[in-house]
Amino acid sequence: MNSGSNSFRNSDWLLLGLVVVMSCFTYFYNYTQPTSLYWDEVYHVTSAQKYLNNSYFMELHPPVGKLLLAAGEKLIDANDDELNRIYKDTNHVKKRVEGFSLNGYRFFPALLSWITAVVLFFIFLAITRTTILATFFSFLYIFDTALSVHLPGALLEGPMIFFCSLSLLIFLHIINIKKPNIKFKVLSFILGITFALTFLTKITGLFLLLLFPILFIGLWPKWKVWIIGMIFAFFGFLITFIGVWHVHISLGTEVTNQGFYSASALYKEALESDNPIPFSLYPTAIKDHLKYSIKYNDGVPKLDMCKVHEAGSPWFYWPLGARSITYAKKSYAEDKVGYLMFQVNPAVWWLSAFAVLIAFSLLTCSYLLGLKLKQRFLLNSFCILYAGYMFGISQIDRVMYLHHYLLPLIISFILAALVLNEVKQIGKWKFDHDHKVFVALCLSICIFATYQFYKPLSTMRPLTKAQLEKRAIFPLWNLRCSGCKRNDPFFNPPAICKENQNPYTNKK
Amino acid sequence: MTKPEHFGWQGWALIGMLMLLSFCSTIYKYSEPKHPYWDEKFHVTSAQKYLNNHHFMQAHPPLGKMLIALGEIIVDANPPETDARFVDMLLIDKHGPNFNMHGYRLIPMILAWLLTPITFIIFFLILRNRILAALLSFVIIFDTGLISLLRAAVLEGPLIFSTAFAILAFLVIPKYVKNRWEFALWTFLLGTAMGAAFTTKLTGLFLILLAPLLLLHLWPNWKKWLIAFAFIFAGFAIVTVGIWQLHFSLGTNVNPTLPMEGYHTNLHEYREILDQGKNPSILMFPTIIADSFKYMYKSHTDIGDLNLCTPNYGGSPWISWPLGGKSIHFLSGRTKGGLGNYMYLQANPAVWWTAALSVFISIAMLLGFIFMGQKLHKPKLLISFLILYLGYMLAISQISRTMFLYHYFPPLYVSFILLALVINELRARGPFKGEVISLLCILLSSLMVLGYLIYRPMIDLTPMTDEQLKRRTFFSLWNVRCHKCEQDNPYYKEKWCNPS
Repeated sequence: MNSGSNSFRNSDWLLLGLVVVMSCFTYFYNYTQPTSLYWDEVYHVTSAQKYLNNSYFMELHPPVGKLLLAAGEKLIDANDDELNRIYKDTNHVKKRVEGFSLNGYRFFPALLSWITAVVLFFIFLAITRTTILATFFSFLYIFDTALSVHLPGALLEGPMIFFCSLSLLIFLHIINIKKPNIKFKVLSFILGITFALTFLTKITGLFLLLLFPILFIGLWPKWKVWIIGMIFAFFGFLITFIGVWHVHISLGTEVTNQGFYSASALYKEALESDNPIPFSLYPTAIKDHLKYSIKYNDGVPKLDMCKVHEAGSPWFYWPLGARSITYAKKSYAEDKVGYLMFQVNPAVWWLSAFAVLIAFSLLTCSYLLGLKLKQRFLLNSFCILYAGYMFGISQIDRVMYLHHYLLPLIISFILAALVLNEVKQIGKWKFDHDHKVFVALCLSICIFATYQFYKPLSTMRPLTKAQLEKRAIFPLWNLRCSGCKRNDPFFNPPAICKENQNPYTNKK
Repeated sequence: MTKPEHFGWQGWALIGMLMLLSFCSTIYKYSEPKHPYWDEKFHVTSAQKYLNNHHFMQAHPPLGKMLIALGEIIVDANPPETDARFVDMLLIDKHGPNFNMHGYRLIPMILAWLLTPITFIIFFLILRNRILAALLSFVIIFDTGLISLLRAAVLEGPLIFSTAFAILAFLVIPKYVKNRWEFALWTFLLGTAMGAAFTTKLTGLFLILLAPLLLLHLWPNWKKWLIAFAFIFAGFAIVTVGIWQLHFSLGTNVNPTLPMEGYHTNLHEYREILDQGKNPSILMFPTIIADSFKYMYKSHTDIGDLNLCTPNYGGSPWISWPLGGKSIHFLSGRTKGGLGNYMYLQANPAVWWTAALSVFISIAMLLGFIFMGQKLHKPKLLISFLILYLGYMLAISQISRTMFLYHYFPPLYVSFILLALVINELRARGPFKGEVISLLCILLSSLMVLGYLIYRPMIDLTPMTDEQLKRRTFFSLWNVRCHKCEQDNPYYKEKWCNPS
């Protein structure tokens, strides 16, 4: 597909096929490995089992992600009924039972994270108007080690990133319609649904709410069109919101040894009765769930960079990929250790961070010096989304982790495409379409090469201490071998210490 | 863009007014507190060694400490026995009741004061507008961070003055390309300023970047640059060798109470030179300067690496500096009424955050210039000062020893220049009318005055309630807390424990 043309040629299908195949290998193929549970799978699998066994429960996160985990297990049926009941009375898996399979629980996250590659391909295509550039930009997603470890897990981020990407793709199409035809209404309705699904997977997806005021600016002065779009989006949102909570509430009929959590008296009474929860009680039930979520969040410890095993990190570290999280490790012969890490591919993350810098720079030049931009509105929109998310996160003082950056990371991929679209020259060297393709090709090769270099950290391939240290090129990552001392440039908690007098407080 | 103005009598009148303001904000009561604080405790002992001709080595080069001693010679505020009280020490623990800081602080204070007119002239050279230059000069006059340290008997006053003077010379040189004598004079002065900065603190070495950057401004006249380089080198070498030679010449007495029997070195050859009184000889210079640099290197490595999880006495990571993190606690106490009084190195956020924003905008403009062909009015200057800023920050980021917020003063000063360059680009290339830019400068300078009024009590021991302090220190990276209060900060959790 060439810029200016909308027809999809054979070569374009070939490129799309390439994206599908490559992402299949990084996201779907072998998604059942490792066989043990890692990171928050230990929580989410218990929630999914509660759905499978109609156990009532409340949890920090909204239901969609966990419902999908349960749906995957229902579909694949990888465990017998007994195994699918084994964790339903706990909030956290302490030890994996022999024979327990994650194939079903991970099915939808893995499938959706695979499809996300295609969604992103179409987003890049909508921006660059060429399939070759869209393919190269898809490398940012396909060959990132951190994303490829985390998204196919029985976790919430896989579905969330998928719904978020879909919302962004729809947004890009709506903005070009500008008249209230049937396509506009349908897309607005779907946008409402995908926004609701994002937000009902993880609360952080709420940042997509910014899309609606952005749409208002994009459609201005056709504010009536915007209102029509909002009505359809609202209906989409409402139906999804009620539908999801309906599924959650109606599935949770049996009260287990975990009790009523923080259900109000009315909700408790309804749970104790043999009848299904009446629809009129839904607002109370949803409110109780939200209250529990807030209470749970308040109980999460604050970030403490001086805690010896702190896996969290401050938000301003994230664009550079700091700090890595060790999910699992296994010792092998000859002092080798296999690692499963949330370790970024620096080529992907640093390029994206640089793209964010250039995007904000271009906007600054546009506002302050009157620089003309081809896609100023889109640059503005995605910069607002990025900054809005980061600002929101910076206001949270509970401990947060590097994977909380995945949403703005996806935005930064889109900013990278927008930036390359805008660039006219590098110094005195004029930059036409062919040059852009060449640069994108070089960067893609670089991304693929670094992916190969960091891949052992996402596949538990045994590594020697020296091999790991060779990969730890950036001190803020805190990437270190098993049992090795932390060597952070700023935060190194003393391993053993004896309390001494604090000269500021004079307290022991 | 409006027509460039001439400096004229109005320029001198504005300098007078600015110096008056600077006197009120910085100079007045410069002898308060009446005892040494922070690194004055080191530098006054060094100055007394010069006053008493004692040989010594120290972590920093000699010029700053010589100037501190010179101030005491001029003012003669203390009797000779008081000026010899600390010669046996490397660090003052206590100070006597008759100890007077007037003399020791004199030269740093004067240099801090002279920073105002130099900064005004620099801004005028960039903006060619007297009023805008005067308004932007508030960055120097009303910054609580700079005021709290520049007037003290420490090295930052001379260092920043040398930096400012080098920048002034750098801006003036291209204007005299066709005038042989002025060109030679200013290139030589640039070299001397670079030498002065380098012989005050090692971090001043970053100014050598100005020499290659000058090529950018003189290009394609590379022969002229070679001449400039020769004069710069001459100025730099004369000052560097001269100052060190003076340092070696002054240290004739070996004080056995000082480390290593007063020699500060185990090098037999150097000890012999000192015993035979040959240290003033230029022939001995290579041997003794090499040993002095070894001592400096060792002193810095002995300081230890930064670790925010253990007590680090005010140390902070370089990434937090542009936003003023973290403030340095100099002094604090409680009045009888329970009010706290504080002396912090506390940034005026209106100044520091504006400066940090101008660094970002400068980078943005440069990226626009590179990738979009955005036309800039003074791209060479923008590139030069960004390289100077980023060069310093890059070098500092490679140092693992504990560093402090005042190590950001040189790039902070460079970021002030970037602020002027950004304002200049907005006037020349932006879609704004002159009035809008003037209003922007008025707004910025008003915010700076307001910030000064709010934060001044935190640098001059004015009594305040804990609530008043808390209201001022809303930014967690500053890590300011009331006297004897618990630390509650996500990034600074110094655990008061002894690793064992």
